[in-house]
Amino acid sequence: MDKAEIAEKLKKLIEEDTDKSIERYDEKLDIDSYTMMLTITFVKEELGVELDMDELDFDAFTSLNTLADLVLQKAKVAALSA
Amino acid sequence: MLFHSLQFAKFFVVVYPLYLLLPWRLQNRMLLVASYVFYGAWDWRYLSLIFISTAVDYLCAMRIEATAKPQTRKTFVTFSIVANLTMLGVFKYYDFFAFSFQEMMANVGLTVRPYFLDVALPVGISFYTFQTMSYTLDVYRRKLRAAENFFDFALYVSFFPQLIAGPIERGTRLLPQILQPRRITREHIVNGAYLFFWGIFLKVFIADNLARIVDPVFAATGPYDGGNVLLAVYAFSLQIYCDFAGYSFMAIGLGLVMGIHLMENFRRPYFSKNISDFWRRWHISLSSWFRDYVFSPFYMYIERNKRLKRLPMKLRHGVAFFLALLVAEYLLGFWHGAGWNFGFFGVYHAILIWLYYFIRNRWDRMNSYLQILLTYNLACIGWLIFRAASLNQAMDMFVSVFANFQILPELDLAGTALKIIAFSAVLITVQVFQDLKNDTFVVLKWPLVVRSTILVFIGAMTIAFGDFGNRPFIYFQF
Repeated sequence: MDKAEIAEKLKKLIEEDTDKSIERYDEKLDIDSYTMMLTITFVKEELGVELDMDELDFDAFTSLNTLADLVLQKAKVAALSA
Repeated sequence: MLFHSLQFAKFFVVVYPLYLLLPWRLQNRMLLVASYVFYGAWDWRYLSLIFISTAVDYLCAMRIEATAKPQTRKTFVTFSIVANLTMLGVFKYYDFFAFSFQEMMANVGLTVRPYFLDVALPVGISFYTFQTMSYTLDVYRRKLRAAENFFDFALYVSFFPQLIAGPIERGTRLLPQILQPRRITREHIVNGAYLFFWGIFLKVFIADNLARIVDPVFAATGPYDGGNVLLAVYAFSLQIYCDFAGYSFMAIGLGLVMGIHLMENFRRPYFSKNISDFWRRWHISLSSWFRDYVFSPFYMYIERNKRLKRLPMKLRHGVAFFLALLVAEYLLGFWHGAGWNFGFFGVYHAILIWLYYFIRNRWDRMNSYLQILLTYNLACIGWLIFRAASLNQAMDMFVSVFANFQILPELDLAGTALKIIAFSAVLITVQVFQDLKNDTFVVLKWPLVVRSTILVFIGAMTIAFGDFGNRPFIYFQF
């Protein structure tokens, strides 16, 4: 799965949860902890990537792109460790 | 020493010129000495506590960073947390739990005489212990390198503008600023001075004057009349904001004139559109601390529980979110003080937040002003619980508003309401413009004539009508 696919899945989840539309992948996200934790759970369940407290920095999750980058990075690390 | 006292003015008049003259490494050493002098002015005996907290976390962080063994790392971060919470627990909560235990035993007919420590709460302990704990946790999570120099780290813990009542800083934000030279610009000095004097205005003119309306109502033992209670609660909502945000603005302003950026702690919380938004605007440094170090780990722990695995994802998320929120908010409430009403304050907000997410789609479609008005009033109910001396008093007062609302002849309802409005009119006006422009410094960008008039007016009101009786800040008791 590439970055754009991941960003698109996250976009769909966040739009559905917040009832707001996101125009661009680099758009500044203003999501609260409810949606953020749902996103983390979704990433684990649907994308098979487990984020833990070492990676989480709520204030750094500024856009779909940064979220997708983190997921991709974590997926690569997990693949290398396997 | 209070920031708006003559004692502090004398202190700062010595510290600041020295700061400007010294190179940055010596600035750090001078600031450390000044911070210990500042803290020792409250009570010199407290210096040993802050030193112990500093030493423990400095050493724990060094040991955590020096090893890659997970068990050793976990041991030292656990030691740091236990040491800090033990210190906090002994000074802040021991007597409360001893008394509660005595009461509980008395209720079942047993007489116990626990030992009471009867010690005063060391000022600032709730703030600096949390600040140092976040440091060791961030080193453990590899978000931050451990500070090599003990004195630099000691300054991070004791930096006097934010030592007594926050903002509760993070190592990732404040340490890098300590570890490099600061550049002070004209903008830093202007903005810093503005924030400092705005904070004085909030505290001395608004908060301390409103306290005269609030205190007699909450000091009464009842029965209560709803009219009085309602006015007192609204007045308290403004008092606590102006008192605490006032302190934060002064602290941030002092940091800024030294070229150090402390984190924003209040962002016009009474303009929140929902209760979740309120906690992203009120005491931001504390709520984000509990989000990062209590709520999130709890959520992860609950969500990964095997018993919940069978549930659909969104339901599992909902259960984990609610339980983690309940724990985090209860502890956040309890952080404020040793009293069951504080814990209940936290639980009240947890329930409100959960209810908001349950009806979020409908709530968010309401008119924005209605959202703000409802959120403000929900927050005020929380303040009633918070300010009351006990849960019983909070309940009696709450009932009086809805079941015994009366306006007694001797209550000058219009006069008191006008006083509240008069004291807060400038604040509300400025905050409307701040919110429209999303800019804390909007006043400084107005035309010269307009901003000079406003600033002179604020200064004159503060000097003429401010309460310079050195009433302590509300959050000093936490």
